[in-house]
Amino acid sequence: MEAVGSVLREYGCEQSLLSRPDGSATFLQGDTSVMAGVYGPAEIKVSREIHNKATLEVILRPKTGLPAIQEKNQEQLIRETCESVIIGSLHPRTSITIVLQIVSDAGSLLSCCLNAACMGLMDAGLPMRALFCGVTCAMDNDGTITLDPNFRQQKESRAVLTFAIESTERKVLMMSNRGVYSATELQQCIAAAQIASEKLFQFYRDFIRRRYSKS
Amino acid sequence: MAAGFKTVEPLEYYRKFLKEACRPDGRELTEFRTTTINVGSITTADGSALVKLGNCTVLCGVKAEFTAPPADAPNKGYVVPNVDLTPLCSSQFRPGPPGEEAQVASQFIADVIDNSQMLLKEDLCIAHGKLAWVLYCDLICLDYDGNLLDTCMCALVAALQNVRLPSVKINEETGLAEVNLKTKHALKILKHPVATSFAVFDDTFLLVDPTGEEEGLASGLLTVVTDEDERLCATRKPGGSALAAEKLQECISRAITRHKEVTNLLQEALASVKSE
Amino acid sequence: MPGDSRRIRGPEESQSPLLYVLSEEGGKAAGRRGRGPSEPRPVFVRAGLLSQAKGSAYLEAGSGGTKVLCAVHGPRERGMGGERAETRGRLLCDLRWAPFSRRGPWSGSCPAGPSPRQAGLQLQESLEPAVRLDRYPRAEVIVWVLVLEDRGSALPAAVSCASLALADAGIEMFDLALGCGLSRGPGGELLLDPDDDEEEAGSGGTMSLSLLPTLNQVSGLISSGEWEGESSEEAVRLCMEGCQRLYPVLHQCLVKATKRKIPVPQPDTN
Repeated sequence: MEAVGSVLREYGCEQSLLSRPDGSATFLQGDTSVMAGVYGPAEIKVSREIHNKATLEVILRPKTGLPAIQEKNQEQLIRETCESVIIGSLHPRTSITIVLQIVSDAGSLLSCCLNAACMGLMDAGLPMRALFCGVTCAMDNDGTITLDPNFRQQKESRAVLTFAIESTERKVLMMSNRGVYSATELQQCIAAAQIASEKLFQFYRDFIRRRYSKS
Repeated sequence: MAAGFKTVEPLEYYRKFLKEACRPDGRELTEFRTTTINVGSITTADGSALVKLGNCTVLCGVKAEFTAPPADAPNKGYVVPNVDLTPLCSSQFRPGPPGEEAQVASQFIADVIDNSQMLLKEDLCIAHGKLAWVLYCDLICLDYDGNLLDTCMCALVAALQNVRLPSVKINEETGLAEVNLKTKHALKILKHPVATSFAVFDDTFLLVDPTGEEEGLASGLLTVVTDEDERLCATRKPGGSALAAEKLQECISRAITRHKEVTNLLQEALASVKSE
Repeated sequence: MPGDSRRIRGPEESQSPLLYVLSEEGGKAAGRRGRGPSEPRPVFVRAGLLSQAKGSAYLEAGSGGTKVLCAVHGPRERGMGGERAETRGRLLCDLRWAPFSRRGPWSGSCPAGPSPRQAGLQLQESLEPAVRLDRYPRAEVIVWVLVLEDRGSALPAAVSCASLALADAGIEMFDLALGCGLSRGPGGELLLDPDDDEEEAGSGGTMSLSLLPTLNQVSGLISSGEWEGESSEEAVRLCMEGCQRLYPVLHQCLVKATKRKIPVPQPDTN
């Protein structure tokens, strides 16, 4: 288990911890933790197959209870993000399924889900054209930006913005947010998220390097 | 000939147009389809609006009912928006419970209502801890042709502005509500959020107000919601091709001008109802 | 069912404010609004207005009255799981009410009135005799009808609207099927094309008839309540007359829609 401290809360990751899925990972950000299992490329029902690329499915399971409409929304956001980086055309007529289990939610849940999904995809060895990471920013009434907020900070803030940043040009893949803010504030948050993403990508790289140099 | 080319190579067909900075339906890239707003056409609802963006049609009906306020907020009422995509609007939808797209749209609309503070839920409370209004806002898509979110958002705002609630008094003796249908009042709408959607083509072209066809071919979608103070109430970009910050700024500027266009249309539509 | 996880949840329970209206002032509708007992409401119809459907139609009875929208998909290949190869096509009908379509309480996920299944079946039975299903073996034609506002006689309006949409979709038909409703008032008087107040008051009996106007054949007849020989004959005759009065309006609308559709000059871009 790796842990690095910074402006972001402590984060850590573990890969290949489940035996049944083709790839698995768990990602921790502070007390938020999400586990991901990736299955695929696998066989698919004829009715759902796409003739020129893989069919991607994301299932988000809440800690307790049944998935509701909110989870469905996040599922779509995560799925579309993954779809834009996975080179699905290499595995046409197959299915790729990502199952995300929320272990504990202590703020910045969506970004943690994204990070877990990316780590899981890497572990499954699926071809991707870039990596991505999720960063959440919370903004106070006076405009101060807190990266990777915890549950309390998130509740007290005026706006919470979550971004998925891709690794090649640091562009924004996904955006979703709560609260009101101005256009300049949005740009500030994007800039902050882009800087934070550098750290996360460095962590990704170190983590993978260490893992493969061991064996 | 052109029709054949379009069927075989739809994306290439579109690129030919985009190179000339126009679209197959004759619009410029930053041009919306004709927007029509019709308010108050459903008399069985407490407020209603029919909005058309080109072909895309959404009908919003609001029905107000009494309920007990939520236990954790005894001074608030409810707003319950639900988007319905029935097989009527397009054969791609199946009957039965709402599918993913409908659920996502419902959640988006609910988020915008919360974020923008367009109406205070405290205003919907009638008697503290006892009685409150619940506004059921049903958004039914009648014709599905792209840009569902913008159409829904516009229909919701127009319908809420059309809502007239009867006055209610609590009878001191019996503790029951007494409704007087003769005096009605409008809701206090504080903000008028307007959504503006874009389709991204080949990571470079930004098309405003995409049709269903354009949404299918686009490499990414983006929705920006602004209010009259030029603040953003929501931005939603579900994956798709990556966008640089400068491109995003372009979208926001377009959204702000769109807000003015829609506000004018809304005022016209509401004024036409009043004058009747 | 408010516990549906696929919708935005509201409160567990809610009541219509109409239940709390002080009595006496319940604004009584002005009788028939000046209509005679056997005079149907004026009808506005339009065909071919939806872009995504093969055929579509909209029907509005009276100003601020019943509004019905219909879309037709197909004919398309019937899905798997059907019985043996049949020589006739299948007509599927679905009739639903919008949650805000009635004056009473909001009817979210459990619509008021007849169950959609039953209403759909009644619609199907009224339409089937008009459609040449033998021309579409192993195929299905699907009719979706949504009642946007129900101010009485929704089922007959749905029948007329659906047959117009079928014709607009180019489905082969023997004739249009037109619907007309009737209700017997408390005093035994027969009221043609009743509005919602009259439907509620007319618990003495209601009738809904559909007619193929050029063939002058009845394709569907549903009645409830107690009817006696003579008065039921009279009711049927009135309904048939009501349908015949509807015919020219729908006929004209269809001609207009077809004219709009046929000459579409295709500018060649190449």
